[in-house]
Amino acid sequence: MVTQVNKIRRFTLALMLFWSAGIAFSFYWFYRDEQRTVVAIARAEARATYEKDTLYRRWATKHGGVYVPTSELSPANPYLTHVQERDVTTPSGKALTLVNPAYMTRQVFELADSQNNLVRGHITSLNPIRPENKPDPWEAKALRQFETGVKEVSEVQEMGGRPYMRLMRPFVTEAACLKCHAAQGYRVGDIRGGVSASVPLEANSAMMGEVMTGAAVSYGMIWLLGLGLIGTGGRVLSRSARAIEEREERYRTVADYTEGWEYWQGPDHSFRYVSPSCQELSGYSRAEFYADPELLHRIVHPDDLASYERHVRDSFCGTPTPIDFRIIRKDGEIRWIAHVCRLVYTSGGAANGIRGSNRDITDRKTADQALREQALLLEKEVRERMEREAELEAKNAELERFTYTVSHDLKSPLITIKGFAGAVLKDIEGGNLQRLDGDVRRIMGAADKMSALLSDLLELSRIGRIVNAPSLIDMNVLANEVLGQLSGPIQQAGVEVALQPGLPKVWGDQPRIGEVLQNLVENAVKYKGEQQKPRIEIGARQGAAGVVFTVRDNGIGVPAQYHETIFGLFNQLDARSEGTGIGLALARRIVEFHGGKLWVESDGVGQGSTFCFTLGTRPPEPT
Amino acid sequence: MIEGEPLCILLVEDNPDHAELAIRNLSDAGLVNRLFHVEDGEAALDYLNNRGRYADQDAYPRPHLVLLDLRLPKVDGIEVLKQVKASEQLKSIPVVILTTSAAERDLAQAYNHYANSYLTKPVDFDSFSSLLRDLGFYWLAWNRRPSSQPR
Repeated sequence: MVTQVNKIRRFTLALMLFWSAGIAFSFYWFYRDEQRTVVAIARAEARATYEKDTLYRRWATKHGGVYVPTSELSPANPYLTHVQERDVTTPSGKALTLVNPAYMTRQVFELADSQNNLVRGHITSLNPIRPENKPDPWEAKALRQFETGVKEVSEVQEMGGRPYMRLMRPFVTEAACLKCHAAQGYRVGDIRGGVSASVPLEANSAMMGEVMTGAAVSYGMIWLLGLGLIGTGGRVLSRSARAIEEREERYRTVADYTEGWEYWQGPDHSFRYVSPSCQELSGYSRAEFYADPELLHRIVHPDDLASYERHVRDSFCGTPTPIDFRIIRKDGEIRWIAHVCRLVYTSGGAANGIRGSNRDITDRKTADQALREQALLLEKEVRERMEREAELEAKNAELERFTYTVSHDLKSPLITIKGFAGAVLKDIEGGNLQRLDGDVRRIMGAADKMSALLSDLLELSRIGRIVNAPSLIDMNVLANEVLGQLSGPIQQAGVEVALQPGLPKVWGDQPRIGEVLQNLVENAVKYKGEQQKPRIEIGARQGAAGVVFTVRDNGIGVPAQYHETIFGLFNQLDARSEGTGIGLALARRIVEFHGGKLWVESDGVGQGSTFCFTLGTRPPEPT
Repeated sequence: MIEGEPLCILLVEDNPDHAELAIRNLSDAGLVNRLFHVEDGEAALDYLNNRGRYADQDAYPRPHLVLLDLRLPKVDGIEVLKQVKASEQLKSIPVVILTTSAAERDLAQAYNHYANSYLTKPVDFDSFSSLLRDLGFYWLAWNRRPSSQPR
């Protein structure tokens, strides 16, 4: 912006030069004018002199010359010898000689010549009678011009080192002239000579010099005054321009060196200002934004365009809210922009567009995204860990229950064995042998019970530890196998068994599912009660969560309050029933390992029971 | 005996062998006039409330002491204890827990439900005998009871 001041300076200088040239030209014009005036005056003077000379001469010519006393001053004209009565004598004897017009004129001119600063006249001809009258070179030239019809010749000439205005007119032959010149063959009307008048210019020049000096002073003053005014004007302009430049520099520094991309959009949405940092963010130069008010719209990411346009609409309506959006840079890269803006007003208070700020927040967004992803990952890990912990807790609880049950149930036969062994010893000591047989049987029974418990425990522990590969089980085939294995007890108890044909096929550990069926059928046989026509039905029905397999009996039934108790390890509703009470617990454990459920449905004592189970096993993933 | 009153015990024990051992030891000590044995919790509650087959109050009198096993079929020992101690009529009857379990959880639970005593069945026969003898002496001989108890 320094150029503004320089421009003013250059303009000032040019103006000064122009002014000086104008003044110089004007002065020169004045000088020329003055000079012309001097010449014109001199010419007029010369002309007047000529006219007067001509008049005197004509007068003399009209009179055919005049006679003057002959003297040294006026000797007889030697060139008039051919004229009669050249010399006459007055009656008183006074000698007179004829002075013809030319002679008279010459004498007047010679008189004038003797005095300085007087107009000098000269009569001449290319063919003079008197040789002294022959023309000087300038006169000769003028005389030749007359012969071509020129009426007057005038020129400033230097004579004897002094400037003169010389004027010459032709001399036309008149009748009276022939008195002297007839001998030369002159005719009336011929141009046979000329009269010149020379006016000395020195006096006029001196006057002009004075005028010019005065004029030079005036012109000089006007010139200096003009220069001064121009100079002052230039300085004033320069100063205010510099002030403006400084102010502009301040605003420019503030606006152009912003980190963010700052801009001002006029009410017509055109860009009034865009900071250069727009290029860093968008890849587009500010010139491109100035040239195209729609450019910003076009580089907004298509997914964010709708919300951006809504924001722009709202902003120009007076409710600007901050917004984050993506732009596609000139090189195709996507950047995140945090945008804020506010309305601007003129100093008069009129709405004047909006002032926007765009900041690159790509890094923050990326970090946020990474953080969010990490948080999700962490959340997932925590969830998984909590699931594992819950699983572990359930396992621990199960183990605790198991340990408790086992310690109780294994201790129980020990107490029996030791108790009766002590009783036997005591009885033997006391010689009381009646109860010995029964007590020993009790001891053996307890030992058998313990053995059964131990083998049941071993069996239970195998579930989940020893797993057969899942296969697609045909439940009808499997049920038939199980019924075959149990045919002895079934026949012995006189139980009728019905197997529903076309049971659905399921995936599972076939031998284990067989054990489930076996335990449920055994249980049904064992608790047939006093039923006259004991019957077991094996079937399936469609439940909410898939196929439900059922083993229904018409035996003693299970009261509602014992629907869960019966599945407890070593739990038996009847202390006197056979077995250890592991069957249902085992069956449930197997079903649960298959992701299914096992429960009992019964309306109570004497109403029979239906044991139901589902299997959640999915076909194995193809490998 | 000491007070010239027939002493009555209700033994709640599912294991017939353990019941036999208990009965034999108590009888040998000569402390018990009448001992009733039931095998599960449901039967115990029926007896105490004179319900069902135990409706006859003379045949099945209110016991002076209940010996209660914890692990019982149907209704377990803790549930029986809870119901006895929740009943205005039955809560004054001393209930002594006699169980195989030495688990802390069972102990705490029993006392939380106002068990009067908690005994773990000793594996050793002599200990078992003396425990039951002492138990009988303490609760039936030394221990004082209000003379007229509501029935």
